Amino acid sequence: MTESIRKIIALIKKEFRIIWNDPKSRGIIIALPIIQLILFAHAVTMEVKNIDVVVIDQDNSQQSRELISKFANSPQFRTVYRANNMQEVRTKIDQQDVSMGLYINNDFSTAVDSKTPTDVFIITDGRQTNSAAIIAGYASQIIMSYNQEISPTGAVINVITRNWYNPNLEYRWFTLTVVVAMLAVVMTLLLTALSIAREREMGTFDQLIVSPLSSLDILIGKTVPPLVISMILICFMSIIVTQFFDVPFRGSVILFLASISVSLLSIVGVGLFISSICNTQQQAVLGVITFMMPSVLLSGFVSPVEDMPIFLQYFTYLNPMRFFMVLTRGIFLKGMNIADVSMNLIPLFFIAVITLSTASWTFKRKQG
Amino acid sequence: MKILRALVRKEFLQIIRDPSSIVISFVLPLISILIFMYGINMDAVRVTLGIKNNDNSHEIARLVNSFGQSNYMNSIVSDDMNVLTQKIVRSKIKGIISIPNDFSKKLETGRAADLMLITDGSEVNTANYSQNYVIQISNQWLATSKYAFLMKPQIVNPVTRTWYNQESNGYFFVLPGSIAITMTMIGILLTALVVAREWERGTMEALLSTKVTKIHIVLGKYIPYFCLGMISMIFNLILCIGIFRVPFRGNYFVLLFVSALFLFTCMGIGLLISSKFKNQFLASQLSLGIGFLPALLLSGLIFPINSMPEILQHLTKLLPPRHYITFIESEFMAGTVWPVVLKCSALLIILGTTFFIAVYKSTDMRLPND
Repeated sequence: MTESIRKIIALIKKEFRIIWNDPKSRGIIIALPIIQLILFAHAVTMEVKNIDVVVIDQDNSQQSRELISKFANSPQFRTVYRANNMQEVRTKIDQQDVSMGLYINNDFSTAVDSKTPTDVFIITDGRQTNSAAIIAGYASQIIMSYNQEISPTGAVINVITRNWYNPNLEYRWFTLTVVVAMLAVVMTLLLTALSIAREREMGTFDQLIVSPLSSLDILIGKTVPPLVISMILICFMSIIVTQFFDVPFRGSVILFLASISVSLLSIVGVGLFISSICNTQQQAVLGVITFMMPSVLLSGFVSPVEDMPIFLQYFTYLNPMRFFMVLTRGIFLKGMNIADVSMNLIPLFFIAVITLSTASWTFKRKQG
Repeated sequence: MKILRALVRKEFLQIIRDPSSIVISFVLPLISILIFMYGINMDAVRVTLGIKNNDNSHEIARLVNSFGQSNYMNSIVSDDMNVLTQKIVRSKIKGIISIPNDFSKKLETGRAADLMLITDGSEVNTANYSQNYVIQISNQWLATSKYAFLMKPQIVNPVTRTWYNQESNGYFFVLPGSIAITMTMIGILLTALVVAREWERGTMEALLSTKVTKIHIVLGKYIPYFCLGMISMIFNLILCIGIFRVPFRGNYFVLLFVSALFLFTCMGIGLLISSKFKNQFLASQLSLGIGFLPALLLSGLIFPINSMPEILQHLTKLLPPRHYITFIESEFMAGTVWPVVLKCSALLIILGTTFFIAVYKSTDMRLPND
C-alpha cells in the first residue's frame, strides 16, 4: 500500500515539474488568467455607455433645446451632434460615427405648450440589435421623464424596483463571478487535455503503461497536479475580485472550496477524456475548443439557460460550466446554502465520475 | 518556386494524413452556428416573475392576468412571500411583483400608485429586462383599465425606428458575427502548432539542411492552411446565407476579399505563437488562452466596445475579430458601405502584414544553441 502511494507521489511530482519547471509555462499559467481577469473586469459589460447621438431639431425652440440638453446631461450619452437633414443622419449612422438619431418635429413647442400629443423619433442602428434596444430604452426613459415634468397630475403607476444581491445592478459583479470560473476552466483544460496526448506523441506514455503503475495510479497522477494548480488559481482570483473589485463574498468559504474542487474535478475529467482519445497534441487542442466553445456559450453567461429551447436546456445538463457558474455566482452574491449547493454539485459529480473512469479505461485500450 | 510547391504539397499531405484539422474546419462552424442560432438570444429575454397580489379589486385581477399573458413574461402567483423568496434564491424566478392593498384606491382617485418589484440582481441583464417588462405591461393595462380616463396625458411620445434590421431579428446580426469567433479560433488553432511540431519532431533540422530559404518556410506554412481556412470560411458563409437564410445585402466579392484578409491576420497570430515558442505544449496553451475568450468577450459581438474604458477600446483594435465583426455586420445588413469596408480592410491589412513580418523575423534558420 505504502509502495503504491510512493509511486503515485513520484508521478505527481513528475507531472508538477513538467508544468512548473518551464518558466514560459509558469508565466502562462500565472499571468494569462490574471491579465485576462483584470481586462475583462473593466471591459465586459452589457450596459451601453458613451453613446453619441445626432439630432435634427426642426423646431429649434427653447422647449426642444431643453429636451436635447437632457440627453447631453445624461450619464449614458456622450456627444450630441447637430444635423440639418436626414442625409447627414444617414451618413453618420451608416459609418457608425453615432449609434442613435433623434428627430424632433417642428410642432414640438406648440404641442408642449398646448398639451397636445406629438411624436419624437428615435432612430437606432439595427446592425447592433442588442445595444440598439438598450439605447432606445434609455432614450425613451429620458423622454418619459421629460413628459412627467410637463404633464399635469393624474393616475399613474410608479414601479419601485429593489434589486436583491446587487442593489445598484453593477454589471461587474455578474461578469466577475462568472469570469473567475471561466478562466479556471480554460486553465484546467489547458493543463489536462494536452498531458496524455503529449506523452503519446513523444512515446513516453508507453513507458508509463509498462511501468508498475496501474491505470488508477496514472489517473490520480494526472488529476492531482492540474486540480491543485487550478484550485490555487481560482482562490487567488477570488481574492483579487473581492479585494480590488469590491465584489461581495456572501457564502461560506468551506462550501466554496467544496464546490470549486468538485467543479474543477469534472473539468479535469473532461480534459483527460479528450486527451486520452487523441494521439497528437494538435488533435487535443482541436478537441478542447470543440468542447469549450459550446460549453461557454451555453453556460448561461451570454444568454440565460431558461431562455433556450427545451432540447438545448436538457443538453446543458451535460455542461459542467453551467453548474460551475451557478455555484460561483450563487456563493459569491447570493450566499447559497448547503442544500442549494448540493443540488448543483450532484450533476458535476456524475460528470466527473463518468469522464474520469472513461479516461482511465482508454489508457490501456488505446495503445499502438 | 519548385521548392515552395514541394513544401506546400508536403503540408497538404500532412493535413490529409491527420484529418483532425479538416474535420474541425467543418464541425466547428456547424456547432457554432447552431448554438448562435438556437442557444443565444440577443433580443428580449423571457423572464418568469412571481406575483403577490394584496389588492382584491376586480380590475387588479386583470392586471395580474396580463402579466401572465405577455410573450416575454411568465408568472407564478402566490400569497406566500416566503415561497417566492425561496424561488429567487434557487433562480426559479427572476423577481417578485408585489401589488400593495391600496393600489386600486390610489388609481381610482387619480393619484400615483406604487407597484413594488424585487429583482434578482445577480443576473443584471435579466433584472433590467424584468423592470422594463413590468413598466410596459402595467402601463398598457392602465391604458385599457377603467382608470384610463384619469390617466396623465402623454404629450411627447417616443417612437423608435430601427434601421437596417426592421424585424429586430437578433440572429440576423449575431450569426454573421459568430463567423468571426469561429474563424478566429480556426485560423489560430490550425497554424499554432505547425511550426512548433516541426521543431519538436526534429524535422525542422532536416528542412534547414536543404536549400530552403526563410520565405519558403513561411509561405509554405501560410498557403496550405490559408486554403483550408478559406474552405471553412466559405462553408460558414454558405451555412449562414444559404441554410439559415440570413439576408445578405452586400457584395459577395467584397465579403470574400475582407474575409480572406481576416483569415490571413488570424493565421499570422497562430504562426507567430508557433515559431516563437517552438514547443507544441506552450503554443497550444497560449493559443487557447488568448484565442477564444478575448475573441468572444472583447470583439464587440456581445459586449459593446463603446462602453469600455478608452484605453481598452484602443487595445481591442489589436484584435482582428473586432474589425471583422464591424465589417461583416454592416455588409450583411446595410450592404457595402465603402467607408466601413475600407477602414476595416486597412486595419486588417496593417495587422496582417505586421504579423507576417513578425512571423518572418521569428522564423529561426539556425538550430538553438543549448
